[in-house]
Amino acid sequence: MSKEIKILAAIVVVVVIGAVVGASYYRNSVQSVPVTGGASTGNSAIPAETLVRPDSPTLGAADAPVTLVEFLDPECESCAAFGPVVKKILKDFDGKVRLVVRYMPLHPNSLRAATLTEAAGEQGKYWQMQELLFQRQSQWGERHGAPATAAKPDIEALFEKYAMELNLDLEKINAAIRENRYQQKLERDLRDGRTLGVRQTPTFFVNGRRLARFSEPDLRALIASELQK
Amino acid sequence: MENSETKQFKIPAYAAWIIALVATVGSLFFSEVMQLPPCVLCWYQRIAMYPLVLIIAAGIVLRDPKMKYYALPVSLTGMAIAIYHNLLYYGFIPDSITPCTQGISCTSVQIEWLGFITIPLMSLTAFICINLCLLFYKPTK
Repeated sequence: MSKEIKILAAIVVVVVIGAVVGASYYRNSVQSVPVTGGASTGNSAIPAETLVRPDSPTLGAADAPVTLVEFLDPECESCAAFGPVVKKILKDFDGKVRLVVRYMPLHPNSLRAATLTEAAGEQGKYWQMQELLFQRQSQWGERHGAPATAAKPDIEALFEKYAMELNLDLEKINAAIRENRYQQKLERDLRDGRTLGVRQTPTFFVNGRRLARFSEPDLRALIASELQK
Repeated sequence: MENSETKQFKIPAYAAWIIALVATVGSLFFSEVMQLPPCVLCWYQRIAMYPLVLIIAAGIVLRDPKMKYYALPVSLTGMAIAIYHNLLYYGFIPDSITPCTQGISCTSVQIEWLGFITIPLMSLTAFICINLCLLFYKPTK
């Protein structure tokens, strides 16, 4: 091996190690303090309500030691794929984690789908509808990379079908969609998300600490570190 | 052993290569670790920057005095895109005529270290330094 190759390889190793160490340092610093809260966190600029609003859908005990806030989009493919994982994490941590859903409607049908889940929530079936929409996302959702000429699904009919499958009162659901009843709530969530620096869905906050890398092990580790406090 | 002329050949070549390497790893750090979405113009500059790491490395290993003739076309193209990007970014060209329609706008400020160090400025500086390194060394033989 020539001398040049050795020098180049040594520099590459140094730079790559530097990047890996830097990445770990950066992720730790992102996750180390809550994004909102009082002066003690150094983030007094963003009020705590920005993260959890009183009317946000919640699953789990109100006094759970860990609050997991998920900014999601019903039409986002990763959110749908990660949906069962979130439910499993709630189960595995055995009531110690409370889930709060915030919306980041970034797709063409997100607002309509979010309205449908909220309207289903009026009849006590919020989580069933969320799960159903995630499971059937390929029927109604926008598909990345699909040709523009591809047939558009009849969302209105599909959503009615889903509502009937869950035995919901169709008239109430349609009224909510017609009135655009949750428009303000959804727009507020979007604003809150932007304030908090949410750039992608799903984005998780564990007791206000933003998950720096989207993965199941990282999320579990962050929850566990909060429980150890 | 080595005379001073081959050393002269080496230092600017290594300098150019290290700048390209750091720019490559740094841009990946911004997008993959800090999760800042790269805009369209950033992607075009990446297309020029990433192969420079390999092209200059090949020139160094082969001790090829003609290396600049195949590295410069790539690095000059990158610099041209970087100049255009900076003109847009700092408002010398109106934003409305940018080709950036998808994803993030090419003029949205994502990083501003010490009040003036931005990502487009870092890219332009890197390309200028690489070009100077490649232009000003005197290949011997």
